[in-house]
Amino acid sequence: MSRSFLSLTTALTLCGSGVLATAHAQAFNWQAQKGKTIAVSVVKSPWSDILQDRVQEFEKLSGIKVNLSVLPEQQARQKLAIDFASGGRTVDVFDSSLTVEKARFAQAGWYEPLNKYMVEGKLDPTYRFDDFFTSARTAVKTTDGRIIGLPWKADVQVLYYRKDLFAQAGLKVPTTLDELEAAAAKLHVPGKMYGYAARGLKNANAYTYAFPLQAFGGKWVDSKGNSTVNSAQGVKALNWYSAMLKKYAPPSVVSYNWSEVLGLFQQEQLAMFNDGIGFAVQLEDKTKSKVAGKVGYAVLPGRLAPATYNALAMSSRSGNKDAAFLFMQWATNRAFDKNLVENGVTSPRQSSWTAASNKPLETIPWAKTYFDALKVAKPAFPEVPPVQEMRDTVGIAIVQSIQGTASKPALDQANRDFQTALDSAK
Amino acid sequence: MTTSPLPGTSLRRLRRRPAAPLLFVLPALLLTVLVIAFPLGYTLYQSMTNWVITSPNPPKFIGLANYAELLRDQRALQSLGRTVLITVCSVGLQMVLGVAMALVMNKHFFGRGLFRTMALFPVVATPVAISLIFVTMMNPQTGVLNHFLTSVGLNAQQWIYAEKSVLPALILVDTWQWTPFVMLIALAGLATLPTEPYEAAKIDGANAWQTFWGITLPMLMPSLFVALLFRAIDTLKLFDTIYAMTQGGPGTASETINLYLYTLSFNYFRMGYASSMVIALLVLVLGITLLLIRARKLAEDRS
Repeated sequence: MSRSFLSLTTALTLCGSGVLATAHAQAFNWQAQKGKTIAVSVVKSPWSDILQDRVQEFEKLSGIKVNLSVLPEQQARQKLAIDFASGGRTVDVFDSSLTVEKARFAQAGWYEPLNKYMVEGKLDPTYRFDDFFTSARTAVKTTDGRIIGLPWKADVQVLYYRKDLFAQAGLKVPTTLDELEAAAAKLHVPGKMYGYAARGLKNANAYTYAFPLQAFGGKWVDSKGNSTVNSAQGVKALNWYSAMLKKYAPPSVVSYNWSEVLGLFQQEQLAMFNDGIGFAVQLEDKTKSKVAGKVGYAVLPGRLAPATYNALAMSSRSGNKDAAFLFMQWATNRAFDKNLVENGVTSPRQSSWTAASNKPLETIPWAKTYFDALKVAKPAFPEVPPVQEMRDTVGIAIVQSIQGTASKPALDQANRDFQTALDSAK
Repeated sequence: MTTSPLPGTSLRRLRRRPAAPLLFVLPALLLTVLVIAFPLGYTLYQSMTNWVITSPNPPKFIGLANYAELLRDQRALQSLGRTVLITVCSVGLQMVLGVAMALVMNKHFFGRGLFRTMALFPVVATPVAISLIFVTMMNPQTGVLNHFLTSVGLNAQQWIYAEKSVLPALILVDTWQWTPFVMLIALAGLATLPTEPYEAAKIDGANAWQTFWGITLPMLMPSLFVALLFRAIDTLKLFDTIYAMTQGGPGTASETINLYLYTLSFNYFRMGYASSMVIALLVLVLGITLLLIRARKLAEDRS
């Protein structure tokens, strides 16, 4: 396994090598839109921090002035929606969470299709769109083949576990839901060490619930786009999820978002949780985390990996589309992607994990799990406009189930509400 | 015709015209229309459209369909119920406790000024800061409130983390924060009361309780009414504390009409439907205000 992994690394190193590319790079005219000003709106994240640090490089390279605004996710989404809906032209390039926004924004016509920009003369020959993982390339395309953004993040859910506790208890990494529960039961010490936790807070919880839902073969919507959240598989998934949280998580879990789960794990009070792998960097940070070096990473039982994607997109109302596209390709190209991985960005560029990285991949404890998980990754949410409504309605059902309501009636209600939202979004 | 009239005569002539008063009021009227009537009218119009921000189709006029949906929407009705419940409970508590505090603070005792100032701290602090402190205190595992409860032999509570206790917990926070406000107004009222009725009561041999019911409370009523009105309107619109502490959770257990409204407009982008809820909330606040004013008039007429 590790051998084939190494050879993959080497192969990618070779084809990703910059030597050949340099000659082309000189041919590409970065200065074509010199003197323009563009407005870029991104969501606050480790990636936006790096972008903020390096944006002057782009300004120097292209002669384009960048007005960068960094906002928390929720505010950014509201600001964009209101701006776009009122016909505003205040944003040229924006950071888009494909998992939540893609269908809705695409339906509204807010994404500029990038196909006509990804051609010779407009796209730097060294850009290499095919360097992105297949799942990320799929994520930025609509069903009718429009490319609506350039990916910068592909996050997959994995199982985080305490290697030391597992070793002490003689436990194997769980490969089925039953084994996961057995491990939680064995490691659970009431009041001291919780066996398992995941997000409980409504809306946020729908993301981690995607794991049991996929594990039991359930789906959010059927092939016609109708809600199926209350299917038999859905009920089983919710029964499992709420029972696990009731039995092995802290009593206030219904208010837990990822930050609370992460905090509990960092404080050595939690044995296992599932969430996006992007948090691994924080856990391995010795200055902040008591568990650094003790964390194990595994593909979730059943070889599942609910995934989310982010992309840099262009506003269809932008008045500086060519300048905007120069910025977008600069901010997602291989040179920029370098070192992202060590800084906690789960880059969807294969070469970032191999050739361009300064750090040998073997020294990143979670890299292999990330690669393995990506191979089996499936989007956490369906591509329908009312993803937020879905997360809310199912999220409420999850909370109700944790607090004692039977899963079936809770999901029946969620199904009705989600279906209403689906119908009104048509 | 040939010479222009003097300014004085033109003014006089103007006064004789029936339209003149209107002309003078016009600037103020325009301003009012601009800042109040227009937004209100626009919201009213929006509430009759199916406008969804992200919809590719332009908004369509759908008459009262949003209001019909509002009446069928369980989540809306439940949030309305919670709004009323929180308002009644927390304003009620604040009135009783605020008056009691005012009576104590009105007495002369050592350090009264300091206590009065300290009592006002909660009113001055920002609700979000207070919310975050309470979230920490109400943590079931590490919070100081449960530590206190268990140390005196009571059961630990889930506070804002359980459907059953979340509303009482929020009412507790709101009451803690706003009781001093009622106290302040009641104190101001107490300071204006005449001393003669008290002297008369003393001569008649009334006890403290009788004096309070017979003299203080009735005379304090106008001040208390103002406090009641302010608090009721404020609590009906309560948003920041709940948003910061529970975001309407667990589930929707603490979702008030304001929080639902926020979700509808800024998460679901259903502006048309949300507008209908704004109008409903406005009618509710206005209705309750009018009811309170009417109740006051009735009480005054009776006495």
